[in-house]
Amino acid sequence: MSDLNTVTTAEAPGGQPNVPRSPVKKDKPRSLAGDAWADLRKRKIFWVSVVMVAIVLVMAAWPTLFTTADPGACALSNQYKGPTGAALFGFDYQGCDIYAKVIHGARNSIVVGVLSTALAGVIGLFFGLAAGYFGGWLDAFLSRFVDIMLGVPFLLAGIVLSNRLSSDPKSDGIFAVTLTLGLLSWTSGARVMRSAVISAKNQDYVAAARMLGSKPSRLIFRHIVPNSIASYVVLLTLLLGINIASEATLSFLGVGLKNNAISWGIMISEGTQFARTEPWPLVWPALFLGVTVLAFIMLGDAVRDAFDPKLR
Amino acid sequence: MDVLPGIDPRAPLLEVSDLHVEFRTQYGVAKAINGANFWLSAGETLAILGESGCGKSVTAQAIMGILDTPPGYVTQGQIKYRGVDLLKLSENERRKVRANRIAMIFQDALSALNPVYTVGFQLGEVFRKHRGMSRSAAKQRAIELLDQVKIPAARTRVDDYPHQFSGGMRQRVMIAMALALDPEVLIADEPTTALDVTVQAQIMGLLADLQRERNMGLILITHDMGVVADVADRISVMYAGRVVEEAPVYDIYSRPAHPYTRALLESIPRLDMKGQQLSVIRGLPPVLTDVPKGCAFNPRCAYARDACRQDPAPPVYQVSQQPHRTARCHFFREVIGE
Amino acid sequence: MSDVVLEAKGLVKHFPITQGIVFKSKVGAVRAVDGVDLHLRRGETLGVVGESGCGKSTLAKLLVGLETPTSGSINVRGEDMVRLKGAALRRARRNIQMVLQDPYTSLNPRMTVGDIIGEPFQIHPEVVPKNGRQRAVQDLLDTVGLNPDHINRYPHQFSGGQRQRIGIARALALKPEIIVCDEPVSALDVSIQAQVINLLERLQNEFGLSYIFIAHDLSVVRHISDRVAVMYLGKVIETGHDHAIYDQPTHPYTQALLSAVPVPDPRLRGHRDQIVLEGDVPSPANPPSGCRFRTRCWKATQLCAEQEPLLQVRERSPHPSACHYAEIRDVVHRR
Repeated sequence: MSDLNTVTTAEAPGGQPNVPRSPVKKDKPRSLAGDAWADLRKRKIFWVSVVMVAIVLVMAAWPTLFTTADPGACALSNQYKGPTGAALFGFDYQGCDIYAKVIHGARNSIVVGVLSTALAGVIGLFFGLAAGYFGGWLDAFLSRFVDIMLGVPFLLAGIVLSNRLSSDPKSDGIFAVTLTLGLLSWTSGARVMRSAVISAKNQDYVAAARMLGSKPSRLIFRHIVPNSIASYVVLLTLLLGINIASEATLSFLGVGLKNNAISWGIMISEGTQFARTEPWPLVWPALFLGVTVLAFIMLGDAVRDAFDPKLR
Repeated sequence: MDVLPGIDPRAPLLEVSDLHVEFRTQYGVAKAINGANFWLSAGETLAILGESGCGKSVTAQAIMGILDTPPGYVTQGQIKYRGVDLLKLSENERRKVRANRIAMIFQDALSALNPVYTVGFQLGEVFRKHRGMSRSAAKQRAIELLDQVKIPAARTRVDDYPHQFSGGMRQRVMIAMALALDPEVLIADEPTTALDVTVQAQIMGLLADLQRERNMGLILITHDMGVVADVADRISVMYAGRVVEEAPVYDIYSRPAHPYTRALLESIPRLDMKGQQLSVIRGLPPVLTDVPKGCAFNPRCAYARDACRQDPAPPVYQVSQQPHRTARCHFFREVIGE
Repeated sequence: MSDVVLEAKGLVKHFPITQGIVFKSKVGAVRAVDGVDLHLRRGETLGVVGESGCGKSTLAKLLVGLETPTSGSINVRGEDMVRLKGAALRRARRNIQMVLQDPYTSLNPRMTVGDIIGEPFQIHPEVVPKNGRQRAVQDLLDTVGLNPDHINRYPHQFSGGQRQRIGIARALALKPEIIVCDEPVSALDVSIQAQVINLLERLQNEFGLSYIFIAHDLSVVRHISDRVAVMYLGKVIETGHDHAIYDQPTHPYTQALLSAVPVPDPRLRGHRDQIVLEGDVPSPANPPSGCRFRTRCWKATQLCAEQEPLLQVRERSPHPSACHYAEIRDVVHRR
């Protein structure tokens, strides 16, 4: 393409760009976000993941759109029965409608997963940024703190914390579980963020911005965060899946969701007991969980790639 | 040492003819080398001069047989060592050639050495593996080698780790390792680019001494016209995957026959005089997936005419018999005559 | 000396060497820059040369305010940059800009070229009113020889030489008087170097800029500089006009440095004075006593170990040279 080099000064007339590119129209200045959105709109994988995430969210918000059956209406006489008209996925050990349970379980799983991941994301981002950007004794202090947190056994801390947080015996435990998972799962993200921030901070373009007189806020949010967040986003999408599963562990131990609350995690941990002979009560919630996590990972990947101009 | 079948001691030490290498990438096929010809005699220094992306490093990799495949493929041509076409050998035979006959040193000596072993161990390993020496004998040879590349206090430094050496000393270790099995050809890929000038002078001096002692053929791959003027016997100038000019060093600097060589010489500032405004080569080197038709240099060339813009590319013209000079330019007489 | 735009006096930068992770204790200091005086006149180019570790890059960072000096002053237009604070410092900084070495890392890969060159205007909004900024950015692109329509491209869509032009445009945005160039062409190919050098020279003439040109390539420095300062282990050891340094060097280190630079002319082979230095540069954390070059110098005597030679004009050195035994020796030209 010759349009990259239509310059006619003494130093550099004519020539070829190093990489062939499609021509760009003359137009208004654009921003990275604008370019990223324009790019995302053209990606199939983005739309596929958006649709999948949207379905799951709708399922969580209005489960009755998908099923009229009551997930709590179980009859032992139905134990392990195959699919019938309304109960598409058959029945489980307790004789409950698996389809209805999966649909209704979406809400708790999504709420716990998304909110706890968001909480962990914010804490990890804050710690990683503070440690990486300011360095020095603050970094030493925060990093040691993260090390200590990583040394705490997850289950033990989860049980203690979850117990302390849910004092009300009538609550369903969602708040306590979300908070517990959020407070315990941010550490590896903080480490990833810290090292990404440190490598971004030492780039020449940050020095250039500093030299121009940028304030720290500008350095952080304009230069460092955009160039260090990519791997963090990917890590968070993975953490989402992990947290949904961890909720099940805590619930299984009696410190998670309580009072007959339903979630995919609980269904999975119940389903494993007789999975050899009766796999379906395990397979369906696991499939929903897997597809949901996959959708979020795909979304995260697509967004990350769109914000990297080199990959466009 | 194993003897290669078909080896002919009277044949040229190294002869590369019509070499083609391409990289098959998702953006298309990049013709990294598009017909390279040169030869090297014992005791001689051949400089391969060119800018980044001209194919000079790929040429070295092809000779050494360390091309990344995929994406790189040698599609045509011959690389003859003493009459034996290396490209026809099995991987096993090539490995032996690589260790014993043709060696290479790289620009970045720090990453070429393993940081967790001592320098002595890494040097000794060559002897243990290829010569079946004992540990103590190998270490003794390692010390001798470090001594030969003029590392002070070799006996104590042999137990040091790579990071304990300065950049220049590390490059010496690399040279020692390359010379361990007495190769006949040494390929040096930008050996001093990462070093300071005073250290560069030391290393180039060392290479010249070692070459004289061992009557080695040396291929020096570089972009530095100053270094070339100081040490080379002959020069091959590469541009966009082709050797565009080949001549003895004195002739090429005083009377370049290819417009690219000429433009390069005129565009570098000189230490010994305050110049006028530098003359420049317009534009950029071509993308290798999209090399211009005809002569690849034509869009940047002051001499270009219609013939240059049409395929086929200019052939290898014989500029003179004595000394032997070639150039791939239709108008070499005009370039050289001015 | 009426036209002096920048004057640095007694610049020192020591980086502490610490031990321990949480409770750090100082065990020494790397004397990166250890007492440097220099001045720069309007429209002039001062070349600073030296090998890696001599402190030239730290000097550049001190001058543009990326590092704070341990002691010393940097006077620009009668104001000491080291002591300025807040808004006054921000205003003063506009006047001294920098072009960085590596065109591949000095531009934020996630910003468009328009944003990169326009960033100075966002940080200093008083320079150009908001509605004139796009115009100003396009003018800058045009000035450095790039297509003004390319404001929406990203750095990776440009070649190394073009990126360096973008970096130069950014440095020009605030209309500074002084530009510090830290190895601006050393990452570029030979044929592209000349383009960028010529651009810098043209801009100097057009805008009356003063350059501090830091490089390890002595040929490039000679080409572009009016005066040259040679650094060794944190100190300037010889300074003078370009012909004084290159044709009549008096300090042994300058002589060794110059003699090591290959000249692209095979006819000079074997006909130049060759000085091959032994050994490596000592650690700046523990420099030798007296003259810092004495450990590698063939002229060194007891005096050199005891007394540090000052940078001054000497009996046999018509320009300032920090050597007790300074004497002219031409190592560049044919013997």
